[in-house]
Amino acid sequence: MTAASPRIAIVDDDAAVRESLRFLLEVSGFAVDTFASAAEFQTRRPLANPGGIILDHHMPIVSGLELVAQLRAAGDTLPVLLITGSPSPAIAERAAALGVRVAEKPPSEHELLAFAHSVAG
Amino acid sequence: MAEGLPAAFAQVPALARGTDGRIRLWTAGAARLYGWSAAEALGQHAAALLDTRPSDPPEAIAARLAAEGAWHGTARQRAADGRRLDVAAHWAAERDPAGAITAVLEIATDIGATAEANAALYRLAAIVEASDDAIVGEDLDGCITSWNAAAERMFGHPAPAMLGQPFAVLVPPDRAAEAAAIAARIRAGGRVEPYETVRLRADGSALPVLLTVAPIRDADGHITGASCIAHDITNRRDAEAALSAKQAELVHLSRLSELGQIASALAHEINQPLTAIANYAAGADRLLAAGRAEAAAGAIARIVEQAARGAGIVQRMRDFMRKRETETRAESLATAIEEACALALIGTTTHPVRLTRAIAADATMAVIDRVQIEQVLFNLIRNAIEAMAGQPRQDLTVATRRLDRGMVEISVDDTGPGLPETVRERLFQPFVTTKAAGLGMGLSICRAIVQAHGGTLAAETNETGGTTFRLSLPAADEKADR
Repeated sequence: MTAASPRIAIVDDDAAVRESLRFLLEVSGFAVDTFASAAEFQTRRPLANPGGIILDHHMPIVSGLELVAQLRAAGDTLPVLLITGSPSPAIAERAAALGVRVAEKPPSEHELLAFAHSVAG
Repeated sequence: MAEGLPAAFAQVPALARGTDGRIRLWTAGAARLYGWSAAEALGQHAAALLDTRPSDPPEAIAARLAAEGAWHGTARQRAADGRRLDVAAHWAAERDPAGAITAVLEIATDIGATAEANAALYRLAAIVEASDDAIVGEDLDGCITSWNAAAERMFGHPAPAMLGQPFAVLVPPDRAAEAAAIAARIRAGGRVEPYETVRLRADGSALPVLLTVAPIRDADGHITGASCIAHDITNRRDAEAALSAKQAELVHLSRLSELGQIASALAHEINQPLTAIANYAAGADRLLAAGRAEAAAGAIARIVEQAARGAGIVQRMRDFMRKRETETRAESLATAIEEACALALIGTTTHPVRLTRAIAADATMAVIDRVQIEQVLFNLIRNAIEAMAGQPRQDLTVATRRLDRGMVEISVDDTGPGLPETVRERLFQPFVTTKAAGLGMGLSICRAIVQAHGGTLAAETNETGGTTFRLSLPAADEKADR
């Protein structure tokens, strides 16, 4: 993949999950940037140029869905895969309304790579 | 006529009337009783002056006087001031030599005080009869001397059947000592303050009552018997039982809820290292497939780290649970079983369960956390009762038995429909339940509690087709090595 290819952004407050996701995606041929919080993503995002986000819902201060709501409100239509450990009807509803795909923790290799392919070829 | 009577008789209230009914003789006593002086009374028509109304009809009185020469009965009369008088009347006929009645002598005794006393007694009797509480009179031998309408209703025995019966027929066998103590207290002149106990209805069912017993004395102050007032407290008892059951349920559910929250937190935390392991393993797999074993080694190392992280979470959870456990000590199994049964049977008046408890002489004590084991027993007994609901035979047996290697067993045996094979295999797994509203946590927690005590919990089908649960626990008289 060339540097101009869309990059995958990983947003998760858990270091081990973040790094293991980066590892799997890079081994599978994708370019990856990692962020430890929604705030960090908003700050560094312009340089990172993500084509899609793999996003943990359960984060302190700003949750995954709240970050998506902020992006959508700003007119950003970036594709998002939301990872959650406690999928509930409320989360499913909100995710659908925001145009977000949901995967249950722990996400399967297939789900992750399918999303990455759809975003970055 | 009056000339023949001794002077003392003048004090007796008496009058004599002729065949015309008019007063010919009027004693000083009569003047005092009726309020008319002799001057006012003599010549007056006796019956009219005094408004005499005898207790027998005139013809009957006349017949008596003619036949026997005398009549006695009672009469209502009226004094000069208008007061009604109740008198005991003795009338005698005066005859001429030919035998014809020439006069009637009326002697009256004022029984007004007696009549008033009787009226007061009738009023008291009416109050006793009108009472909603059973009021029962007994003599010194404990035989029933009075039995009011409320007693008939409450106990279901009509009064004629109870009079003369020993009141012991109303006392359940396990309360015999209490009844004897009451009798002794009464004989010694003491009262028994209101206290709650149980008596028996005619149909053999138990009647919860609030009892007050007091000695009855005669005019000389000697104790002649006892008066017992019984207030039916069935409604209050049922309400208390329902409240207790709700409280027990609340405690039970809050413990389950707490455990549910812990389980949820545990699942959430474990998911993190698990996700990382899954990702590293998938990546390492690809590297190995591509022949890049060295690069895979790093991933394997990360996997090992994350597995240790997971183990740490489990350990922390175990330590947390252990801190919440209270200490075990030697406890009476009979007490634990009785309390669990009492709690589980509350509010089951609609399920006529027959409970048998059998504590083996060599299996009476165990080293346990009594609160936890009572919770386990409560769970098992409740399940048994619910399983047997609607069944023709509802026998529940809780028994203890000695096992070898320093253990005792408690068994909970029901005559319900039993467990199908598919359910029995998964019985102790969490999140498995046959109840529509069940949480499925009860039995897995019960097993965990029993295992934490060093024992086992298992279920089997018994010979009636129902289910028997067996829990083993360390015996108290012989501590096994830990």
